[in-house]
Amino acid sequence: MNNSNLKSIDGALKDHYASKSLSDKQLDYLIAMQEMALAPQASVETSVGPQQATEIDSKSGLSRFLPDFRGYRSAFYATACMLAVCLVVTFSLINQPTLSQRIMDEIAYNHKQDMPIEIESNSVDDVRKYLNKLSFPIISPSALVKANWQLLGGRYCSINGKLAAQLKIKNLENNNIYTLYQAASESGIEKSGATRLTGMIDGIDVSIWREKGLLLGLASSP
Amino acid sequence: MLDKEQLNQLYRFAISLTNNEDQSYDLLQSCVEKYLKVDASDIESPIAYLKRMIRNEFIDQTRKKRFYQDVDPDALDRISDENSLNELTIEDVFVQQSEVAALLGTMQAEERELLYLWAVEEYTIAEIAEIKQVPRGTLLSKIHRLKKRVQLQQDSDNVLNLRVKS
Repeated sequence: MNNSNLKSIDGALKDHYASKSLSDKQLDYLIAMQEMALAPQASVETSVGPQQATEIDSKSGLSRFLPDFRGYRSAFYATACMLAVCLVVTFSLINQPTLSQRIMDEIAYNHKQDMPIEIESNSVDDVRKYLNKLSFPIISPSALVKANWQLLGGRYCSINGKLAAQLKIKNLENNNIYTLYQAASESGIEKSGATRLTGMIDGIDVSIWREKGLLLGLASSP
Repeated sequence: MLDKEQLNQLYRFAISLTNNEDQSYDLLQSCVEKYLKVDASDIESPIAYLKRMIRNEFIDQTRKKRFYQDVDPDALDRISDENSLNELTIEDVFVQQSEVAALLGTMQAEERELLYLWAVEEYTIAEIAEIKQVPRGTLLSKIHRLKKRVQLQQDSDNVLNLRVKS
């Protein structure tokens, strides 16, 4: 070791630390940060160049508009997430088909399946006795004039997840085969206030209505 | 508002703790941000306040690395005499300028801070003890170990081999 280069440790440390300085860019950023904090409404461009201002903006993000944003950043994100979830749920509920629409869709589907009848009879009593697992007795709908319709038979089916009756009937005027559905009345239909709803679903003409406390549906192919 | 000279002063203090320029800048930036959010009307000396913030932040960041070192009991025994403590100085230690950075690299953060406050900020040991809220004897013990370490350096050609137990 060359002793001629030795210097006191305090002097050596002073020189060592004196050689350490912030760069101009770092100093500009720290000063601009202070100016923004002291005058939040002032534009950053007044104190630093446009390029530096862009860098500052990108670093501070929302803090530029909300100085204390960091303090409740988690709460902000949690609230935003909850709001997004609420919007998705609300949107899906709004777009969900109504109960009446779902029942009409199901009747159209059942009609298209064209399942064979389980009991073949022209007598409502016979069909009623066979379909004894229903929670209600099947009826002769007043909407269908008896003289124009002939009962061919019936079978069990499902309407809105509940056991229901599917009756096959024939229109004697045009010999078309219809399916008539009878199910325990749905509260959603009662609230709708509509006496009869009709619609064309997948090429099937469907109508539903309430009668004698039951939900009735009629489907026919064109 | 802190001017460039004050910012550099704080930056150098941060370097004395971290011995790393990038980490020091991050530390300084983080502390200035926090300082700007507090009510500064009751703060008499922003520099002293910010130094405490930087030191506390650094301790938080390096807590797992155990910032505080236990004082070597043997070293305390060797300098237990009060008269010798009063006479203990490191001004008579000489080093080569080119080896200062390497020497600081062998030190713990607390030792670098102690040397910085003493050599650059020119605080006395008693003042440093008050600032750091530690007993003066503890600081003198550290100085004793530092002095021994530097003296070992002078006897060695390889600074990086100076990690010795005092």
